[in-house]
Amino acid sequence: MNWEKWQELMAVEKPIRYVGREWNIIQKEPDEVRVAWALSFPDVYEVGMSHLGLKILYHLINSHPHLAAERVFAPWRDREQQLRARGGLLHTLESRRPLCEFDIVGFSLQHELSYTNVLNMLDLGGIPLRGEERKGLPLIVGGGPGAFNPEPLADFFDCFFIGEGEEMVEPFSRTVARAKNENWSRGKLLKRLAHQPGIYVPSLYRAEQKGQFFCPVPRDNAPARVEKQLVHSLEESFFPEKFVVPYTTAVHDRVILEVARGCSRGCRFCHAGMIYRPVRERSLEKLKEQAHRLLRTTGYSEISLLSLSTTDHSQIEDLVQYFSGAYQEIGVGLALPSLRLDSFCVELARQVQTVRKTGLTFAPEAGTQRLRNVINKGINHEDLMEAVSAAFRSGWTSVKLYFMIGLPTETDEDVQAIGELAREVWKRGKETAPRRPRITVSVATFVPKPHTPFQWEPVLPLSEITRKQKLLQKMLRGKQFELSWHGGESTRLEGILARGDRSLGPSIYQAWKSGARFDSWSEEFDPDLWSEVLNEGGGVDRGIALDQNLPWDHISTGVEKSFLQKERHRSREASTTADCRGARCHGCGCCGNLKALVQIFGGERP
Amino acid sequence: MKIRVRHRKLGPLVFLSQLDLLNTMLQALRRAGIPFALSEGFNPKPRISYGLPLPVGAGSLAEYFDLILKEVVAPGQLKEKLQAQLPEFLRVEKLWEIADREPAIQARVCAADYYIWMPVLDAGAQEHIEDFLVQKQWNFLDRRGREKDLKKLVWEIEFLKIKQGLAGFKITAAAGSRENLRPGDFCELIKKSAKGSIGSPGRILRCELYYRGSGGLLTPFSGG
Ligand code: SF4
Ligand code: SF4
Repeated sequence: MNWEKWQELMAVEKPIRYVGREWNIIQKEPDEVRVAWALSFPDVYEVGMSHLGLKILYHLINSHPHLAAERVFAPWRDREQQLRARGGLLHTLESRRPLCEFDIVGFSLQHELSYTNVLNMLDLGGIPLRGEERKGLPLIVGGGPGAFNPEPLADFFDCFFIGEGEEMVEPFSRTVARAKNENWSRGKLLKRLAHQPGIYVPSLYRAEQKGQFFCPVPRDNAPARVEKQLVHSLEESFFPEKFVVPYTTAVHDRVILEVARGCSRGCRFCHAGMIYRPVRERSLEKLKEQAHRLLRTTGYSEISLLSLSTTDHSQIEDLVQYFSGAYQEIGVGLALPSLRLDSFCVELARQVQTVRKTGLTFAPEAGTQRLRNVINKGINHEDLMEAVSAAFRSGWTSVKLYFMIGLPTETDEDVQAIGELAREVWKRGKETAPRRPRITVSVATFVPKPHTPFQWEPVLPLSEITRKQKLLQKMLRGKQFELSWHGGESTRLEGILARGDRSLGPSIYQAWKSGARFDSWSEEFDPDLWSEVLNEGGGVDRGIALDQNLPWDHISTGVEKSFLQKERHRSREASTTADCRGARCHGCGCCGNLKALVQIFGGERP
Repeated sequence: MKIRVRHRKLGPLVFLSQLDLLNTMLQALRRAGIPFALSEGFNPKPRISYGLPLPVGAGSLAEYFDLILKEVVAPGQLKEKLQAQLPEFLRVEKLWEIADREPAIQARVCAADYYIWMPVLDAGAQEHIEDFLVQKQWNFLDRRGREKDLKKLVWEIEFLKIKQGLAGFKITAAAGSRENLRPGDFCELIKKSAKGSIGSPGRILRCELYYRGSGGLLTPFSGG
């Protein structure tokens, strides 16, 4: 490494972020590659490298002899300054070529507060920000949960992948390869791509004002609806045999096994629950094979079981039993999955950690039964108290409780009930736990997300967020409680961007121009900057009428809008809807529309 | 069975922290299937210990660690197996068996060799360095505000002339738990003494660790 490069890296925080050359990276000979992807994660290295989707796509694309995928992460401000000062371009960690030299730059859109980082990475990568200013390749594509309402980013992207990327990257790459071979114009390429399943090409849609929103209307024969693509059988789907192994311990260093995809518990606020339907499991047998191979290729000493609700896996008992024992002799253990709120799960946790008792986490989400019914969190007070009692009896003393404020129909009584519940849990712990219990109460603010039954709800005004937080603070004084929450302003911004339409593009651009970066990092977030740019632009925080056209109506998750309306209606009656895994199908439309099936391996669930 | 390993830490991997390095090495040992022993207790850990931590940014030709194995294996095989699982920048130089009662390398290290290069900012550097070298004492206020005479910690020093804008030094200095020269402190001191003629940071390369033996300094593989 030459002196200049060394000196530059010495001057930044965490230089290891920019080094690359990790174990198991894939570097291909340029002349063998027909289409090169830059997989771009709009957050720092440590965050991006912990993300499973990126690992899957990286190895999947690279498994094709003529395709290459390389990685790039958002440079921290100090690194950005260095690049700008010397006119350097943002490059990938593998071949170290700048983004503008790739054929496809694919962004993972995990949440709305990463959007200014997306713009920053494009700019630093030598790519004009607006689609209409670009010529030829690369194509800028986006995928992940954020792509389900792509409109706020429509100005900056050429294509969005709706759904699970595994199904789309190959046909997409093939079309791009053909376009390169046959010298297609950019316009021709985009038109072709727009007819591929799951691909949304925003420039082929005109944003027309319809009531409150600008809604996309197809032109040039573009499809009226873009349907989510999904992996039909998780069991048969691609899963990497190797993971890139980061050098820094700041990244979770463990073998991640994806035990299931999708969750149909049907919590009405939950974006992931709606967009990843239906539930598809991977079998214990398959997972054993994958774990075995990955342990050998990574050298990790821990396994974790990942899904939206791991403890709902039909073979969860066997999974926990097997993976907590199988590799004990070589010092490989199982990390505790996040828990559902019942004694069954506490029993599971007990198996995982026979002696060491770190904290247990539960998510009741709301303080009163009424409100839990409104949001369809199907747990009751007795279950909760029984679960925490079991935990305390088994020796845990630190319990973390997750709640939300600002949920639809919430009153002060509901907020106070959060405090009362926390106190009751503490009291139970004092009676049953071996040592003085410690209760962590983490309070998020509800953000209405598109494609959920609560997509029409308002975002809580800032003054109300603060007032309700204060209310809780007053109730949970004392050393035995630790209360934490997210900043109200960034939560509100998330809500505004999540349900934004195309008119938000200029505001995002302006925010980036004025210096917004890493908006999801509370110490980096600048509320004044954003309130200024949003005052000029659009964005809603109000409630939306049920019959209003929505900017994401043309994007289909498979779940019918009528189902969302019905669920919204049921929420107002505080009636609950059962999980379709255990009970019968309640007709959300997903399986029929996507010709998909719920796939479960074990027998009856406990 | 107990083994000792000497390896390099070079190139971009100089930016690994000591914890990152330890973790990276453990992962490589696991991939290589090297049968290391685990400690007893609730949270079994491999029994590995590194010689002397290296600051982030510094390279080394001589990183050492000791590792306890749970069975007897031919050391020659182990070296190859481990090397196959390590990036070139962490090349294994030597791997050999040591006596079970051999104290941990950490406990015995007393000195280290370093190459240090500092960026030269103007023509006054040469003179400032020469002045510095002949001073009787090198007083330095360390991070905790204690005044130390670094000259007592630097046992030998050689000024390697100024080349390509860099002033090079080769030093042998106290290292280990009793007396220790932080090479970074040395760089800071030179920078200060040169009154603006020399910049920072200094680039450090560790080349050897030493024990105190009966006949003077011994390296960790000289069997003493
Ligand atoms: S349990 Fe509820 S909140 Fe959790 S993933 Fe499933 S639907 Fe979402
Ligand atoms: S269609 Fe029925 S079975 Fe399929 S996800 Fe929806 S409710 Fe569940």
